[in-house]
Amino acid sequence: MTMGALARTTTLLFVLGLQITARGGVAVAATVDLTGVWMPTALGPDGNRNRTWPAKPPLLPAVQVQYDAYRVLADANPEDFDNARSCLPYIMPRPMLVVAQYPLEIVQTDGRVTMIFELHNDVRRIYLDGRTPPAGLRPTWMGYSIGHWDGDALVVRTTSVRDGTIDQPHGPGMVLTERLRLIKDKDANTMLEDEITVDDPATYAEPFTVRNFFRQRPGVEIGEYFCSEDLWQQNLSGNTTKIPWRN
Amino acid sequence: MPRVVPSLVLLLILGGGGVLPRNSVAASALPVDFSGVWVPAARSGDALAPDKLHMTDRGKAALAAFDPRHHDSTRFCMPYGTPRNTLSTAPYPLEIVQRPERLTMIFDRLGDVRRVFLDGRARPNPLWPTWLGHSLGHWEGKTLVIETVAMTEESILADDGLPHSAEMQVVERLSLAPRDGAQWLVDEMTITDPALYEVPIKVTQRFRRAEGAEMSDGSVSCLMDQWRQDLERRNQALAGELSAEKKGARP
Repeated sequence: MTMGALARTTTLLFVLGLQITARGGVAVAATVDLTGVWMPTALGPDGNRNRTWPAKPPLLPAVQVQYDAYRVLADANPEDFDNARSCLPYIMPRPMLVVAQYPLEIVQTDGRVTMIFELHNDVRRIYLDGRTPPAGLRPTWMGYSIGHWDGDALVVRTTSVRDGTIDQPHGPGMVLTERLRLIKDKDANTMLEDEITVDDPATYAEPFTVRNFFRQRPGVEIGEYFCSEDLWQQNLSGNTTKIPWRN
Repeated sequence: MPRVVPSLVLLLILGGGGVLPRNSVAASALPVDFSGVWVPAARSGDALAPDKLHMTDRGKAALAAFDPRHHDSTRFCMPYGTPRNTLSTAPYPLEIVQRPERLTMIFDRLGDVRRVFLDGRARPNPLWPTWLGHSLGHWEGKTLVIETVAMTEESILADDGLPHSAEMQVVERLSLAPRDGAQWLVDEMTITDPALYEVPIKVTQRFRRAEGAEMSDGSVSCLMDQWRQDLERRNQALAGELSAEKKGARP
């Protein structure tokens, strides 16, 4: 891709990406501050392993056929069937379900909760100012997230998630409802729990709920993760054969 | 300012998640609230034009050796790096998310997220050069002064390949300036890098507030074209697999 083509593409996307949103409603003030650096862990508060995605999600029969075919291919060529291979953002709810040791940073401000993932530098913006989703939303990797406080739980409703993921299939009508709250583990340490209910009647026979847990990492500064660092270093070392657009 | 201190201390003690003192992050607690979406403005009489700079021989040699095909990180979907991300006048928005102890600049670019720590912390030791550098800030009245060090020399200052060394120091003075009925963010930047520039570079970058606008994650995907090819290849493989199943070629 030439720089010019890249600039044109991203400029167009930029124009589409910015949107004006009317604000309304009254937001309930936060009583909890989730700000900080959080490291995912698949171990629940009881210390037992938590499965972040069901082994057999209740896929509709027609989707199951497609999914089974995908599994055959993906199991044979795991690297070939993963968005992350192309250095692209994860697609919701996957960023919340990562258990690898890539931290998530939460920045909580008036009317907004911002999540910055070290992995792929994905950014989730959750609006808590009482707005409703803008009309004519273009589906995106993170979807469009609106939240409110329900006691000490941050409830987030995410819609308009783009397609393109095969391992966690979903249709355009998927609604994700998250409850994020601080809990204590068996040793009374604080954990962040994200309980996600996946509701997508076009894909799943019934809604189901998955969970991930995060531990506080006070004092940790998020490092730099750039997926295409490998391509860049190959270029600097004069080996351009593995750079896709240089073949 | 004194009202900010107790919540800052509390936040440090809690290290994040904890009980929030009501309104501790309210905009009124900040000397100036830069939060919002900003679009960079064009610069007239650009202070970054190489013929206006007093480059050392090493600086001139580095600029002459610049080959955009190999030395511009953005061509490899790598970040712009600091301060190029802040100085670029291309119309990509910048979002600022501000808390008393941190100002976060999220550029609609290639993973450029600048974290400016305002909590009085010391620099980590050792401090390795990174694309975004390490930024500490403090308030001088209604001006936020940001000092950034440790930026990798693999990054450049501008599209034409203006070089810098890993010893470069960047000082920015951020302030708000209403003009023509709009809100402007003014970043007065001084770049000091004596190995490459005999005289520090002074450049002012302005951003206009995009009132009511919000940033989407839709434009961050530099490798989109590559991904489309991957997706197409995947879908073809999947179609083949499904068709093979129908024919009973697979158990």
